[in-house]
Amino acid sequence: MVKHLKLLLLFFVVALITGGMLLVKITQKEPVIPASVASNPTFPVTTQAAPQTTAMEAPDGSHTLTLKEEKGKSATTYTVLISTSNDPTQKQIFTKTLEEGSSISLPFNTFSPDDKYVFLKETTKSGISYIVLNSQGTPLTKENSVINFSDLFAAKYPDYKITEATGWASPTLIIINTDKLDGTQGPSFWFEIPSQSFLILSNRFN
Amino acid sequence: MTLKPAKLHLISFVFIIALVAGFAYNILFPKQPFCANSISCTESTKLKVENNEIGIFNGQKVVPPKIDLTQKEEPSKVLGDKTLQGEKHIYVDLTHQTLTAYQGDTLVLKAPISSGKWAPTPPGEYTIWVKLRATRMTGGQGADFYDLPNVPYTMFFSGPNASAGAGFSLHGAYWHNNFGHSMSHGCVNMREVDAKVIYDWADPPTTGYTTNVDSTHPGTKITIYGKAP
Repeated sequence: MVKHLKLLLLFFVVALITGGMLLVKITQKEPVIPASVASNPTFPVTTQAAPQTTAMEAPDGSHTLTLKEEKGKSATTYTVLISTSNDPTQKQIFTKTLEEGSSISLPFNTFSPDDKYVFLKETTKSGISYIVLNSQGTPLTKENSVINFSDLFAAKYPDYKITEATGWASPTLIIINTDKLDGTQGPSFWFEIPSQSFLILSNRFN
Repeated sequence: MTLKPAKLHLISFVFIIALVAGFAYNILFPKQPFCANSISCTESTKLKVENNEIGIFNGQKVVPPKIDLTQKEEPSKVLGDKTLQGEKHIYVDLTHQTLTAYQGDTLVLKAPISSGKWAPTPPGEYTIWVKLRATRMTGGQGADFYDLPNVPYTMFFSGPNASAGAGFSLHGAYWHNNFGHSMSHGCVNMREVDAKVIYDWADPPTTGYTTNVDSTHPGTKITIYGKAP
């Protein structure tokens, strides 16, 4: 009888401690996040009107890429220029004229980590495509001054379409996210610039 | 040999108690992460400048930025050098992969970050306990192995969800440019330009290449919240 009472007492003590611990955990406050902090992110992109320009700084602050947009009657000319923090003189590295309804933009992570390459996003009526070029404007290969890796990808992986090139996994690897043609999520890839090849990844890079 | 019913009751009873207590302990004291940098671990929390080393990340060689400790660096100008008042607080939003820094009600910086991809960045309340101009971080294994000298503007933080020895920090990252997307082994990666702004602004005030907190100079608070995509 005494043994049972001891057991019962022990049970109550343990139950009390456990309950107390759970209560403390349940009543713990979540971090208070001010409303101004919790709003969606917007990042600094310098823009100016007439002709409209957009500027993107390299992650180390050593270079600035500027996209100049000059509207014509039925087409817009896009010019990409680069400057350094030591020399603000802008050097043209790329230009293209697109018909109305199409555009070129600078992705936030446009610069490769070593600032050797930049990639650009082109949006047309038929979809998006990406091009990569040397940041100094020199030809990327013997045959091509720039590489449209969306075209290379479409030829190699017809069952997937690129949804976004998010940035750089290393100085020569561009991260690409894809969808399958039925609209479901596809895998992520790396596009390696020197070999112009794609590497399919087991992890999705969201 | 047979057990008496009383003994059976006792064994079952002890087993159930152990189970419940273990469950409660796990809820109350969630398992702390191991070191953010699994190989260098606490070694990473010391100043280290190695200008002639080559880094490795994602199986590729990367050239770290040169750091000249003999040159005096100009501190970043925060909001045009206006004298700011109020408590400093850094918020890291894992869901949107952003960092916002406030002093009082004034926004000092809003910038994209890269939180843990190969290992999670633990949400919670933290404070900076040491700032280093640079250090070396090594960890991972196989294809995920990384060895990164001269990790710039490193601010180690600690709190209930990650001790100082766990080696979690805010720091600049020169080896990738995928900010706004998870890309780290648990730390909070920032563009070098953004990391410098936070490093120069955050407490304790920078006094050298290694700045520890003390009783009169506590570290800036950091709140990490949300869930990485």
